[in-house]
Amino acid sequence: MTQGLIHIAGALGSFGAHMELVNGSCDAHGAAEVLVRKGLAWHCPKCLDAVLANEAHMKMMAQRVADLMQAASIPAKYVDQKFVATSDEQRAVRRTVQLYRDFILNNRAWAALVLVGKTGTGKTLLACELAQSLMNRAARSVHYITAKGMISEIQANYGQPGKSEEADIARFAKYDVLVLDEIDAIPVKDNASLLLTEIVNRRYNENKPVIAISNQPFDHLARFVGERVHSRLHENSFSCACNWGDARRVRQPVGAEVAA
Amino acid sequence: MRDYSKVGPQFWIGKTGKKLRAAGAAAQLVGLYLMTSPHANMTGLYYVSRDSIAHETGLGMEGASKGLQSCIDAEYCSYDDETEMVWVHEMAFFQIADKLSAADKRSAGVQNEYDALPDNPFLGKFFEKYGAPFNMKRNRGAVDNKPIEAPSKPLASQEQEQEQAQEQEQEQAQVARAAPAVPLADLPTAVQLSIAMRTNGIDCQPADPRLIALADQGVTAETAAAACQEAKKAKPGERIGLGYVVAILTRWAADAAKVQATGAAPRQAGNAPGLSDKFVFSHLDRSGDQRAMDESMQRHGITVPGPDEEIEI
Repeated sequence: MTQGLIHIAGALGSFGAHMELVNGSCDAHGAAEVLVRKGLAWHCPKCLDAVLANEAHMKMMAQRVADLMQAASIPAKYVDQKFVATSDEQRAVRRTVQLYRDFILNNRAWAALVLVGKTGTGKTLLACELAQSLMNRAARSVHYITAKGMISEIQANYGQPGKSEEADIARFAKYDVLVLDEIDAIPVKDNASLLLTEIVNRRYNENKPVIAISNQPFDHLARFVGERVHSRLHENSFSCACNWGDARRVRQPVGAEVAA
Repeated sequence: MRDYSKVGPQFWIGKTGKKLRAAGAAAQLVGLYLMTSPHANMTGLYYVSRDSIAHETGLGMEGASKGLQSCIDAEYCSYDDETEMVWVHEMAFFQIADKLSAADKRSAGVQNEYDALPDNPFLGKFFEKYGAPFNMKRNRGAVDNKPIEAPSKPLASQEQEQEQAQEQEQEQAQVARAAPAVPLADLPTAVQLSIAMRTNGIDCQPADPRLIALADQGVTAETAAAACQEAKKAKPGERIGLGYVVAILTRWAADAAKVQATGAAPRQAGNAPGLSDKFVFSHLDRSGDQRAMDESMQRHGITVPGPDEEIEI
């Protein structure tokens, strides 16, 4: 930035006495004559432009990622957290998630990551880690929400001025990736099932991936999400069975060692 | 239809009552009619056509219209000709109470009654006036103009007389107008039951404790509608009360409790009473999950990484 200012300063009269024209050459951009403060070395103006553009891009990207994180609604508990795989089963699941990420970054096609298993096995943690990776690496828009939360959010807008069910469905359909936690736990109402089906179907038709998380065995899911959604979760599915122990039951509370 | 309505002495000698008196006997009669109308409910915001007022007061169309206009001028009520909804401004205070506690079941009853009303221009003002004293939670005052999702019209029985069919059609049209703007499935169950019954010609209100009890016991609108049809078959051409339909539903429930299919699976011991598989799932067979994962790994060419391999997501 300082060099840039010196470059500009040549145009300002009183500074002229302190400036000089210097010739030099850059391997990438060839010879160039630049105005610099007396005594300072020559620099390539095109390289300087590239550095400044890169700085601006990095700043813009950082802001974009911050905006994406804000919109993603990742629960605070899972921000910047990683799933540590310690067994073959866990490594297989982690590798599946990794390849799912590569697939959706390289292909514009429907793909469903299905994370099923008992409570406390790290399904939400894995999904949130993946979501943050997609935002940081590729600036993809991701949204995390429970299926019940999504339905409630839509239904809460019924009758509100300026809101419509259609607009809410379109909103959930437009994220690059949608993480639906507890996809089985929706209200037992036709309207809730219809909303879930409509959103998943629109994403399916638009080749927008879905990450589905559930405590139910995959084979049982149809009873809770309906056959239409279940069928779509089968297509190009990356299935992960998280059936190891509940980490919450073995984890010691903070300060336990001190107390012991 | 309600059994009774409360009309206090202030009706005759209060400030608004005096204005009605000054406007003439027709205004007083229409005012009294609006308080005690068979179409009225406890909220004072309800559907009533000018024809009904004219016919049931005996004033004729001209007299009823003049009387109604005097009531409107005296700020006793408001009337919307498009929706044919009347709002008797102070009626809910007289019929219910000046204020209800949040725990009072009538608070929920008022909200249910309000939720079941058709779109009309008075919903917002009603909420402004009664929202706080009656602990109401949902304001429908700003409802957009979505098409009304009305209950489907049932088929009329061929055995019924034409006159009864016409009467029923009028009632159904009234119920259709009174259908709420939100999807039926999202309304409280008591409201759904009320709509199902009124569609089938049974006069009832969502705040009726019998309807609330049925809703609590898991009776669906479809079952209620079927019970109404059963009642109509048993009493063709007669006016049927809610009590008769409730009796049919009670009988059905008793019959259902006696059914024990041979070889039927007993309730799973692992589940606590009232908790479904949605909340208790540790006992479920998960072998299918591993099978699905193995297939998925095979399909995508995924292999298990070694313990020292870093798997960066």
